This record gives sequence, structure tokens and C-alpha cells, in this order.
Amino acid sequence: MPMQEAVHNQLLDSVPDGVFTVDTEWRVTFFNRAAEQITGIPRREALGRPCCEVFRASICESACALKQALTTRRTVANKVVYIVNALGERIPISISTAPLKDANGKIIGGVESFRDLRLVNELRKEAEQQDSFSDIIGRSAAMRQLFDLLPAVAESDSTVLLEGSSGTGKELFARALHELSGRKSKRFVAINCGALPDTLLESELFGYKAGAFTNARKDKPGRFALAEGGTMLLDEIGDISPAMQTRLLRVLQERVYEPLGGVEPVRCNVRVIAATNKSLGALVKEGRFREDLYYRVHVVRIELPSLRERREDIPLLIDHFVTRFNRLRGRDVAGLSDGALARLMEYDFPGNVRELENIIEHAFVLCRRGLIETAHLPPPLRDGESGVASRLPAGLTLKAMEKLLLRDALRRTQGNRAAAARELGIDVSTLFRKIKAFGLKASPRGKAK
Amino acid sequence: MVSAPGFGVTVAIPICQERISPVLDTAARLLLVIRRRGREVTRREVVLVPSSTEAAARSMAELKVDVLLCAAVSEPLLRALEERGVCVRAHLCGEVEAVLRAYCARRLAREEFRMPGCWGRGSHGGHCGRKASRPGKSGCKSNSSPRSS
Repeated sequence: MPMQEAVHNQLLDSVPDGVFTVDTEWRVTFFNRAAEQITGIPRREALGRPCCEVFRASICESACALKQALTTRRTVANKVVYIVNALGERIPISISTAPLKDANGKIIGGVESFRDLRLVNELRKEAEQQDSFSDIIGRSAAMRQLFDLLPAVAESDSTVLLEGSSGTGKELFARALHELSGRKSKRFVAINCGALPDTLLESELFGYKAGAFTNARKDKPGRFALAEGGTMLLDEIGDISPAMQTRLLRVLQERVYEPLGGVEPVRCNVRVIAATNKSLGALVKEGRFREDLYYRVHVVRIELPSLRERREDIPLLIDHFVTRFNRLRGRDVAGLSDGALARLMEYDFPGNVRELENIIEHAFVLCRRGLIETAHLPPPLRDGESGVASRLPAGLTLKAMEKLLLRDALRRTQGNRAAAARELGIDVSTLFRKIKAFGLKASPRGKAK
Repeated sequence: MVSAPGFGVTVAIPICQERISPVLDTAARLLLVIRRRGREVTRREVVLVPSSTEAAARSMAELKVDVLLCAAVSEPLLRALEERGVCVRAHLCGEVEAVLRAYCARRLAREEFRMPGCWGRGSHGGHCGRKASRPGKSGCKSNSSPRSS
């Protein structure tokens, strides 16, 4: 073996990625040490054999990357596939291929390098464990503050009010509070108060006695009875009627309730977590929510940030959903392309994490393997530019652009200046100053002019 | 129906360009050969639709495959096939007709039909040190000879 070749081989043996070369007949001419370890095939058995019999990749038959590189004379980079190793294990790998040319530029074969993604996945899992708390994903400052708060709140047994827009994970937080509390051996019961009419909500919450109404042939326990000793989530509490508010107030104050048609009060030991996507404080001011009930549920208040307020969590959440859908659907989607990720990073997500989950689920319908591209995203994200900046007309001055962004934020937050300032990352007083300077008017209904 | 039980054996080979397909899990075509009393009675080719491991094993069983001659196969698919009574002879390579002839002549153990890396570790039947087919469960006879052939 010539000296130079021996050095090359030693060099390639020292790299952690698998590397092999083929001649124009697709026979293996070089197979490095990492390739032996990843495939489980000794070099002496690999050399001289057709590469597909050695490599056994999911694309060998249908879309050989080496063939593609040799045909197009171009490099193929970071294609995610799997191989079946000598032990029959499916190993996820990322491959890159390139043609090999002689001094005259004539193709004499190809080279393929591949990386075992199991190690990458393990590292990612470790990182994910640090970036989640009881199934809640996030590494942003806002989420970390909440993660720090949760154990103490869970332990306290106090009534909790969770406020946050739709899709921010109120039920997930309520479950986490239950799981972290001393009540975790008992049941967690959730009910959406906004989805039921008053009479039905009352019988659902408190149950009824036989004969309470037509067709009530036997006693039926309510959700409070089911949650005895455990935790009850009253979701969309801002939507309940004044009459229902009065009944709930009694439960929270005296820890007793009466089933429909019952005469004897029933004692209950249930921790209540209330959740709403509205501002209960504002509802109280408008006279639509009882002040005394508000203070009963407002013992500990946790405000959940919207996804646009924690954009740095978007890639993490995407990874989480891609992994989940891969597992659920037996797919090997590798993630999002840079273009698709950029599109999502600049999107506002009015439906928050739930909307992001739906977007990934939609993409999984169209993308079976490889990377999710922009074309796999739902139409509004696929067709047009979604960010505010991309909608700005060309040739604007910085001042005009700032005015447009302010107006846009105020419109989106429906005139809520504190929320708009938070979204823009500036102080409320700065926002006020700028509104005045630009002559913007933010009406309560959010029609910034 | 491909074969009538008791009257012959259905041998299946995933094929790719006249050779055994390198990975059964992603094979696109399957050759079905029905042999009776040592002779080939009929053969046909079916298209394999990409599907989950369970669905792939189920469709093989529905095709009444008795013996499957293949190259690389993932452990979950191998297990699923064996659970459905398919006798799997894995880690084979070469041209389809030559492999079929070797199978009939019980010469599959020859060097030329062995995939690299999976033989010579004291394993038998091309199972690469992996758990061999259990005769009682899979119906795979010890020498994998065709039934009633």
C-alpha cells in the first residue's frame, strides 16, 4: 500500500463517522472503522461486495444516494435514512455522498459518509429532559419561572387560577399541579364549564338524586364526588352564568354542595383549579363575574404565556411533536427544513401550542420521510409570507415601519397596551410615548388608527 | 389464493433488479413461487406497498407465504413474520434464480449466497447470531425443506 494511501486510511479510521467508497460497479473499495462499528460488518467481509449488501439502507432499492451523486455529479448532503445492521436493528443515520474523480475529472466511484443518529438522539433526549417539566415543554425564561413556581404551588393545596389564551396548555399545567401534589393518588377530573348549559353543568358537577327530574331513575354522582380527595379543573370558568357562580362560591367557601334533588348537603374535599382564557379581573370590572368568587379562585394566579411570547420554545416544541408523530405513525420524519422552520418562527400562532401541534400533524399527512418542507405546511403558511415584516411595503422609512409594527401589535392585542408592550419587548411607558408621538389611537376594541 | 395448504409450498423472495432485495423492510416487489412435489407449479409477482411492520407481516401471511428467502430484515419484522408462521431464511444474497435453485437443492449455506457480516459466528440458518426461527412456533423446519415438495 503506498505511504500516502496508508495515511489516508489511518485518518479515515480515526473519524467518528462511517465512511466507505465504491467503484463504478458499486463494489466496496474502502470501509473505515466507524463503518464497521455502525453496520456491525467487518471490513474484510465488506470489501469487494456490492454496497447495498453491506450498507442495507432503507433507500438502497428506491433512491440510492450514491447513484444520485454519481449520476448528477453533485454532492448529496445530510439525507436521513435508516440501515438494518448485522443484528437486525434499525439504525437511524444521516448520510452524505459525493462522486470520486481521478486527475482528469473522470468518475471512478463514489464516497459515502454516515453518522449514527442514535447518539445525537440520546443527547437530544437528555437535553429535552432538562427542557421539560411534567410533560410541559419549554426552555424560555417565562417557562422556567413557571417550572420553578409549580412545585411550591402544587404543595400548597390552595385554589389556583390559570389564565392564558386558548392552546397555551392550561389543562397540562393543571394536571402537573395535581401530579406534583399530595392528591396525586386520587383522581384528576376536568370539566369544561363553557361547553355545557347551566342545568346540565349543575347535574354534571354536583350529581343528582333519583327522582330529581324525569328519567332520573337512580342517583348519579357528580364530578365533585368523582374527584373526592383529588383535584378538579373548572375550565373556562369565565363563561359560567351568575346563578352557577353563586353555587360554586358556596362549594369553595363552605366545602359543601347539594346534589340536584337532594336535601342533605354533601361535604367535599376537592382542590379546585380554575382556568380561563379571559381576564377574570376585567370580567369583574364589567360586572359579569362575582367579585367574591373571583377572590375565592384568585388565591394563586398563574398566567400562561402565549407561544409568540416565548418564540425560543418553538424549535423545542417542533422536535417534541415530530418525535411524537413519528412514534405514533411509525414514520421517520427527520424534522423541519430551514425554510419551514423560518416560516414557523415568524408566525404569530393565535392558537398557540395547540395550533403548532396541528400544523405538524398536517405536515405529517403530506410528508412521509425526510424533512418537512414549506410545501408540507398548511396553506396560509405555505402560500404567503406570514410575518409582519414581510407584509410591510417596500421603501418604508424606519419610523414608518415602527409605526406599522406598533399599530399591528395593538390590533392583535385588541388595544391592550400592556400586552402590546410585552409583545414588542418594550416598556409600557415607552409604548405610551411612542403612541403619542406617532399619533396612534388605541381604542378598547383594538382598532388602532 | 396462492397455495392450497397441504398441496405445496409458497416460497417468497423480495426482488430488486433480478437479485434479492437488500432490505426486506423496504422491498417493493415480491416474487411468489409455488412448488409441489419438488417442481415449480406457478409463480407470480406482487407489489409491496410501504407499510408498518405489523401490516407488512400481515400481508405476507395473507399471501400464504410458507418460506421467505430474504437479505437483511429488521428484528421487529422478523419476529412479526415468525409469529405469523412464516419461515424466514434471512441474510441471503445473489441472483433470484440462483438462490431459488440453491434453495431447492438445499445449498443455501454456500458462501456465494451469504450476506457479509452475518455468518461465521456460530449461527445457523442466516440469523446472524440473532435468535433462530423456532420450529414449533414458526413452522420452519430445521432444514427448511419445502413441505410436500
